[in-house]
Amino acid sequence: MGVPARALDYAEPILPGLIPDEAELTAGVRIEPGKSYGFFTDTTLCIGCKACEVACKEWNALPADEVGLTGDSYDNTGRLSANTWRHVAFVEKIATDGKRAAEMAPFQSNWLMMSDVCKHCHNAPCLEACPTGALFRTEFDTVVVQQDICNGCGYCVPACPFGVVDLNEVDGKAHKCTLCYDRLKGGLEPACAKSCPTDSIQFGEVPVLVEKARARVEDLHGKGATDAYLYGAPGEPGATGDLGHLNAFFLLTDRPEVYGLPTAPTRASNRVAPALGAGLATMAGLTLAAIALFAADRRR
Amino acid sequence: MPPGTMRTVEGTITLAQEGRFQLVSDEGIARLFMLAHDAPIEPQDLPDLVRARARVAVRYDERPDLIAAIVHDIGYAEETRP
Repeated sequence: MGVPARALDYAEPILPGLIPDEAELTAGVRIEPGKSYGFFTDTTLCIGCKACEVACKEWNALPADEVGLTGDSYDNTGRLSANTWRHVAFVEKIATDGKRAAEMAPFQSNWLMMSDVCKHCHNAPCLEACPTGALFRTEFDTVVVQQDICNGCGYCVPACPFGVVDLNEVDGKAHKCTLCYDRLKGGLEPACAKSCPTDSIQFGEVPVLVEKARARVEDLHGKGATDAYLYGAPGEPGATGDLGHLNAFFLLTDRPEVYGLPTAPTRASNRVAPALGAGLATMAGLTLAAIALFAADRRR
Repeated sequence: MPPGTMRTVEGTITLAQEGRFQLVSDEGIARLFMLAHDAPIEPQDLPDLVRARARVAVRYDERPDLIAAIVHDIGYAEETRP
């Protein structure tokens, strides 16, 4: 079978080569090692188009999985998984105070939409739990799983307070968003942010994004949307439990749990000492009880 | 194809991401494949196969809930291409 004629329409590349530092054109940021990069996801701008999900799957060659209808509104992706690194949550607020919403403000809807992703935590619990060093912090301050080192132990899965990291049953290894590590190395904006038509997902240097986000919250408050707040930015809700801050943070307009985010995420390593202490105390208690029982038995 | 049925395809790997790759068969059909845990190569071997544009033979099966083929065996294809 020969080459289809359609494939010969554009036999030569349109561009002479890669555009150097392309992210400067698409996101207004030059990507340089040693700086901290992340996402600011403004959920008030998300229209639920799922372009980010598609772009992520396309660039990372991730397959569609769990094919079918979930029966959960328009959300047929369901959750983040080893094969889904972006998930657009559709939250329909159909009831307020137990009553079905019957009115709607002009130009508003009763839908909350949010493109969820790995948060690339400042103190990443998954990275701390990894015994092989497969999870590492890159030169762009993001957290990535090295597939050639991952042994599939799965310690990172329960360590993640957001339920992001997942084991793939096919290869037995942990997978999650890499914040398009390969694209960053080539000076390209991550695929999801580049594809977002409303700029709900903004990519950039974290300190710059935090400033932008705080200005956006003030702007929304000024327009009457006083329920807008940041989740995961330094000093804000979501940046709790010694996580530091989240490199991928959000602007929300309802409680975090409405979007499927934990109210106060914590670091798993903080629970190691108390758990170990409780285990040792239990063992000591049982030993003392056994000694007492044997001593009482001997006296009889 | 019933689950667990093995098939074989020959072609060229055009892109690779971690343990996933796209293979264009000799018929010109592109398809997504994933290395299974029992595959004889590791994710770090795939970029070399892409760069070499090597023709490979892949033995795979499918799952009903996954739009990708699962690779259990992969090796260089014999040069019998017309």
